[in-house]
Amino acid sequence: MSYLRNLAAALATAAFLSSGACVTINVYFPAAAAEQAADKIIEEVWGDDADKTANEQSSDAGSLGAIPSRVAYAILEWLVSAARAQEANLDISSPAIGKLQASMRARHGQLLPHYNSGAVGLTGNGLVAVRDAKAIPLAARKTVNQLVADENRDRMALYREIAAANGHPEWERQIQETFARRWIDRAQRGWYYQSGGGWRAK
Amino acid sequence: MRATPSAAVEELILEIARVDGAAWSVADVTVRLGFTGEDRLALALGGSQLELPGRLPALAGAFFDCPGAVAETSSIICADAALTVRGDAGAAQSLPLGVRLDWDAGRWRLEAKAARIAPKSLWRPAAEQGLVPALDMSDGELSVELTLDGDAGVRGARLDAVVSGLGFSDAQGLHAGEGVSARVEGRVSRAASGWRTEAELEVDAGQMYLDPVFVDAGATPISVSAAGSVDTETGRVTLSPVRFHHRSVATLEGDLRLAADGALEALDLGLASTAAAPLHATYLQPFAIGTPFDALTVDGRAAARLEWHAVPERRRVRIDLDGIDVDDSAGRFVLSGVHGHVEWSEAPGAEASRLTWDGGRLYRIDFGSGTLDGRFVGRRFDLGAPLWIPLLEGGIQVSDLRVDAIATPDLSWQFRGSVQPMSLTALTGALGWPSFGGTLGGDIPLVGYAGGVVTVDGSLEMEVFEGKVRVGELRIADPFGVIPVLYADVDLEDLSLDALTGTFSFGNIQGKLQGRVHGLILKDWKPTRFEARFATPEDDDSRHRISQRAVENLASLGGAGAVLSSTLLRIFDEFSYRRLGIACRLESGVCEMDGVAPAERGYYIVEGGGLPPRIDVLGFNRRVDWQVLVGRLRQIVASEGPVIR
Repeated sequence: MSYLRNLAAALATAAFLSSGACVTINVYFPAAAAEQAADKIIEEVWGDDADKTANEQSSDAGSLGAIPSRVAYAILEWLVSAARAQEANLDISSPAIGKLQASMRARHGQLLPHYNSGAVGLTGNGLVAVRDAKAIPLAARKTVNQLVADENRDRMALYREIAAANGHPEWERQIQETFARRWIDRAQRGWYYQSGGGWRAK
Repeated sequence: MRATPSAAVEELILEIARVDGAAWSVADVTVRLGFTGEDRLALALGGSQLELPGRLPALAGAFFDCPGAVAETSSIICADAALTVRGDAGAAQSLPLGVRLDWDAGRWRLEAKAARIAPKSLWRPAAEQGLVPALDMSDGELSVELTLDGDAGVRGARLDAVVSGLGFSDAQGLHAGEGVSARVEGRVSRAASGWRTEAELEVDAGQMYLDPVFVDAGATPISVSAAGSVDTETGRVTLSPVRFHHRSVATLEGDLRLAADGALEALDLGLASTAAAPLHATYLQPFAIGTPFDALTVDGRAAARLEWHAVPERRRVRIDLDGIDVDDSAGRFVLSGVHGHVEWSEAPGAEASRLTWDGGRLYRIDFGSGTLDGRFVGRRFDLGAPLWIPLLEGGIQVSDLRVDAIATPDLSWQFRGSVQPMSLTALTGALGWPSFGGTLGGDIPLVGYAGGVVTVDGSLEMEVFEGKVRVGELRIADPFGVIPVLYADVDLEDLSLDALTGTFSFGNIQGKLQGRVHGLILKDWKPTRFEARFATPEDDDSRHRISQRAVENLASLGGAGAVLSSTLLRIFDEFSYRRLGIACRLESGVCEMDGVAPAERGYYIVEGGGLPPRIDVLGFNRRVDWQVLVGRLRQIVASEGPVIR
């Protein structure tokens, strides 16, 4: 949840302020907008294969545990509302994003049977990987390697392009992380994803 | 040692506590010999804690059982024997065997046959001992025949094995086969200083995936053969010749020397001239997956020679190319009719490389024939003679080309370039733009590529529309990536509007124009960001006239809010103006528009002046969708029809 992530960001800012250091206020990464943008693109790429029931934004409850007391919480809430005001929508309408989306959409049909069989899984960093080569017919293993490489090339370009199109190339990593979560959240039941170093079926 | 003959000598049992050979030993040896008939024997041999010679593993126990041996004067035949072997950790493995032992005048020969056994019954124990890679053998049938002959010691051995319908896979599925049929033949015999060996492997059915290479042996069978020797003193293995033949794909032949520890000492291998297409598809493309060069179609013929020795001076490769065509299926480049040879050596001293080509295409720009001369040592290539690339009726001369960190992610290159004026008519034609004349030239002190970015120092100059256009600060990031990004600053100087409008059928404007497009970013070759401003130069004293048609078109660029005013009615074909200009700052698909001067609620695109009839064109839309603007420019269609006041 972006709200909570902003809390964490504000907490870091507050800690910084209290240490008496000089603070440059950066534009906050618009986490909620990034999730919406990710969902829109995922629905475009996966079409009906994107899990509709997972439309709710993913929770990120861990951050809340870091907050020490109610007082801090109140201060933070004030800081956060100021921060939230800066949040804007992420623009995903650039022609380059459109091209990447179309290319991934066209490839999805070829990757789908391999998601379904568990041969290809979603990695923790927003890419795809061959999880179980044995689930792919021998003659198709090379083709799947190519599909995975092409898909990852498009995905990396997509994350970079979304950050650049919104004038914040430094957001690339956060956008990639957001997508990583959303791809997994929107994955079909039975598809595999990486979690804590291992693979798990959804 | 203890021998216990039974009363009627029907059974002989021999027990030996320990037997030691030169490089082997066995403990608790038991030999049982039962006399079951006229010429019938029941033979059983057993032992434990077996230490075996060479790389063979130690065994906890081995037991050979032959209940129905037929004994003749100089032979024993065991048609239905069984060998049971117990490793240190693994369970006992039993193998049904047919065994025959012949002897004559101090010479002997032992034949062992195992027919139609499951390959995994042999492979698994061998893998458990670390003799062979761990592979899961699922299907298949194996027949093996091993013959040993000798006198006091072993003099020779011969192995024949046939496997069919074999399925195998490692745990990750990276090395796997299905329905594989193969034949192995190996012979070893005593020679003066060691052993003489010959071996042959033929795979003629089934499919194999050996990451990342896929081979259909049914369609294109593979055979490997080697002859050579093992020197018992030094432990050195010399194979000469070694031959690898993959039908219709590749034939390699050469020599090979291995040290006692298995390390490669010398290799000399030749690839016979072969069609490049199947060679590339089978053995090269799989390794290129994930690089920008993984979607190539390759044609023509190639041959190669590889030399690898312990001294770096003798690590060399030579590749001969004959009529090679390379075509990127993503449409980024084409190179055709490549002939010549590439010489590479790890240490300085490489022969010169030379490649010629008939022509090619980079994106939409065709280029002509060229010759590349240079030296390729280690990870570095240095150009010999300057390279001339004919291009767009002019060309680029490349000198001092140097490529570093070849075949690493840190690949970089740089060269000095000088441009012989190229034709803009040819360029616009290639790019599918409205055609206009002029030349493109310039001096490029340095073009460099590092970290995925091509940087052009200096600037390209176009002499066009009686003025000049300079392109500076040119950089291209990820030139062969999914989304190439081009950065540039463009400056326009003293262009003739008469020539410009004439070319684009924009109506007619007379006067000069200067301007700039700074911070230009093209993504996937489409503009995504820039700051552009075009205007009449301050000191321009040329005749300033604008036609009715041009007025309408300019007004349309200012959006639906553009207003046109004239001191006189719209009955004139031509008007005079003091100055004109238009600006656009493109960001996020929106063009922030401006003109030459602010006006009430808007801006002047054309400010009237001079001799009547005079005209003003005003724009009121500050924000115009870029796609809409491009659409308008393309069609030059007036939107609302100008308002005259």
